[in-house]
Amino acid sequence: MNWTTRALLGVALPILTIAVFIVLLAYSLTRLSEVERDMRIEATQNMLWVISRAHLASLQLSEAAATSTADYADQPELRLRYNVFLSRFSLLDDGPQRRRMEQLGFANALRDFRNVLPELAGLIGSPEIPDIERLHGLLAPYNAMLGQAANKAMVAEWDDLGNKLDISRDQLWHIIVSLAGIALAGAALFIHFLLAIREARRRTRLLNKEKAFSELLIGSSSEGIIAVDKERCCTVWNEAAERLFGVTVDKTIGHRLADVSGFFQIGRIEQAIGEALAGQSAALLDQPFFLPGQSDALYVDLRCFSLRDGERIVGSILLISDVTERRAAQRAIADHRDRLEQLVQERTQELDAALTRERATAELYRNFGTMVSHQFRTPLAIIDSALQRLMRRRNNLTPDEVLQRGSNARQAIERLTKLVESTLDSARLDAGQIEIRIQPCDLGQLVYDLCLRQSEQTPDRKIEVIPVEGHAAIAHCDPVHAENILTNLLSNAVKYSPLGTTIDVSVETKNCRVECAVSNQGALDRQDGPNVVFERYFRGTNAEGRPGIGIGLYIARTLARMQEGDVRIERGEDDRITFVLDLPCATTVTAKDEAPLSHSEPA
Amino acid sequence: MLAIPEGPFVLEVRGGISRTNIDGAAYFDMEMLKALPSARLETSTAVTDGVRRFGGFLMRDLLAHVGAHGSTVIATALNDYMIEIEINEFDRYDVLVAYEMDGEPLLSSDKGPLWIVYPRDQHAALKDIRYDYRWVWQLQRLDIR
Repeated sequence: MNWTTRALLGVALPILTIAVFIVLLAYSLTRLSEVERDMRIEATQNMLWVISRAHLASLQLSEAAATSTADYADQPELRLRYNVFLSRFSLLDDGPQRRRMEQLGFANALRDFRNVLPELAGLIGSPEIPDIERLHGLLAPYNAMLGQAANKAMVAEWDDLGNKLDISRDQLWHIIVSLAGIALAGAALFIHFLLAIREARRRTRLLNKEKAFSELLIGSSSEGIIAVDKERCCTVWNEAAERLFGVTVDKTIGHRLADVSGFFQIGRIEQAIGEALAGQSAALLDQPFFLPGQSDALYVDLRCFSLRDGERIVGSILLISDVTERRAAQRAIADHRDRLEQLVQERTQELDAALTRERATAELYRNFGTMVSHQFRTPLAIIDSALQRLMRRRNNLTPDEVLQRGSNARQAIERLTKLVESTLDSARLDAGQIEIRIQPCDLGQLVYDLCLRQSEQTPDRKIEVIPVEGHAAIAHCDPVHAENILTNLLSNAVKYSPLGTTIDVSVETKNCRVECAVSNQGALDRQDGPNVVFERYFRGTNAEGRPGIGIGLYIARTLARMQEGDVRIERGEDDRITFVLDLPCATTVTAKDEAPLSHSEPA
Repeated sequence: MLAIPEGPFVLEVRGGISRTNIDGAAYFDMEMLKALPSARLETSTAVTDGVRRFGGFLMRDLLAHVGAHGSTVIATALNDYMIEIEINEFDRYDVLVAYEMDGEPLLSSDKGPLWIVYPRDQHAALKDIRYDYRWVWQLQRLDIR
């Protein structure tokens, strides 16, 4: 059954039935009123009586006239009967009675008799005895007419009555049929009414069931559901809301929300509810909320919607969900992510460092290879050449020449040995196998001795030692290693400075540090920066043709740093390069620090 | 004691009455009847056409005049037509005893000299055949029972 049919049956049919009901009722009422009207009986319908009385009066007049002939004293009786006769005739000849007589077909008879009335009056009115024969002759047609009229009137009245009864029966029959129709319509309406009541009850039951289901839904929702009316008085407060706010339903329904919980007094919450009441949905996420007597905040998501009845807004519905755990989980995830990022960064740094180290190692071995190919091949070539000469000219060589050749080869071998030692020193240093013995050491005296020795080895170079000012410069260091460092610095200065230039050496104490500076004429490669000279196996452009493996300054700086000191390079204004050994001053050292220290460098 | 009528008798009242003039009855000539408080009535009748103007006196005035005491009035016409009427009906309706119609005296040869006229147009209940027969014309006698 589709919608149209149902609407037709539900609405159109009852209306049609009511219309039929009304029409039939109106019809019945009309019919009944007609019957009521027809039930009146007019006096004219009593014509038989009127005619019979007129007939009687006429006969009585005749009788009175006959009597008067015998006894003239009855004259007043004759006049009385005459008057009665006239009265009856005038009744018959007047108004409705006359029309009725004309209908019955006695118009001419009445007129004819009216014409004889003067003669009749003359007969009755004469002082003599009336002519009875004439009187009878005058009255005879009148009496005959009245006899026929009575006959016809009776037939007409009965016909009328019969017709009237027929009509009335018809009308009553129509009324009965109408009443039956009314009864049917009434029954139909009654049945429709009963069905409507049953349907309404069924719908009410359904509605109640749905309402109960809705209440169950609202009640069992894990989300807090609250409804308010336009005055913000609470109308729905489900169990989840009870748990969330710790307020039971009997303390909320009918109360204003602001009185129920302080949460609803917060400005933005009130504003959101106000927007919903004005017809706009509103959502507030991660709203902190403190339960009375608890210091930890709960976090809730609040969504407000309008409650509408048709177009009209009747209130607002609030959905509140506890997101505290979700928020905590999100925070934990964020923390975890931060930690991971940090870890990744650290690992990346470590990997970068490892990569850098690997690259440095690769560079180291490349430099080592270059250095070996140059520095080791040269002495070997010298030795080879000396031995070849010895072998080729073995018969005509003088002993001095043999000695000369041999000593050349030995010098070359000595250089090789030194190179191997230096390489091994470097390896030991890398492996952390260098032992440091810290003790007070007069650096001024040490410098003086070393310069003296250097001058003896290379008398053609002028070394100028600037004496120590004031107190002796006592450093806190390992004297053996300090000597190695200074020897290296001095031999470098001799090796890389032009002939004829002086080498200045000075020692001074300042700020609890002892500094020994070795200065010589020379230039540095600009492109790589000054500190490149401290890298292992570095050989500058000015190192061409000069023996060395580029490891001295590296070892010098590493050793200095192992003794809490340093070796740095300073460039002067007049093309002078100065290497400074910087060591701690002995006066600041306590007894505890005098114990032997063992340093080890990571690989 | 009523005065003796001087003219011809028009109406005779008998029965339960306290005022009489001849032989325990009250006889009236036209003069005596016209001396009663006159009354007028316009109404249609069952036996004539149109509305007629009647002149006469109220039946209850006459009954009071003769000191009538009873429950029923029997009205008799010249042709011995007799009708019983409840006496209190004359208190309920202004029933006229007419001697004039449309300004003309009622004649004995028509509905006269006296005609009981009901206010038919004034009261719907009186438009009924059961009242129509009480319109006694050529009235000559009233018996109070």
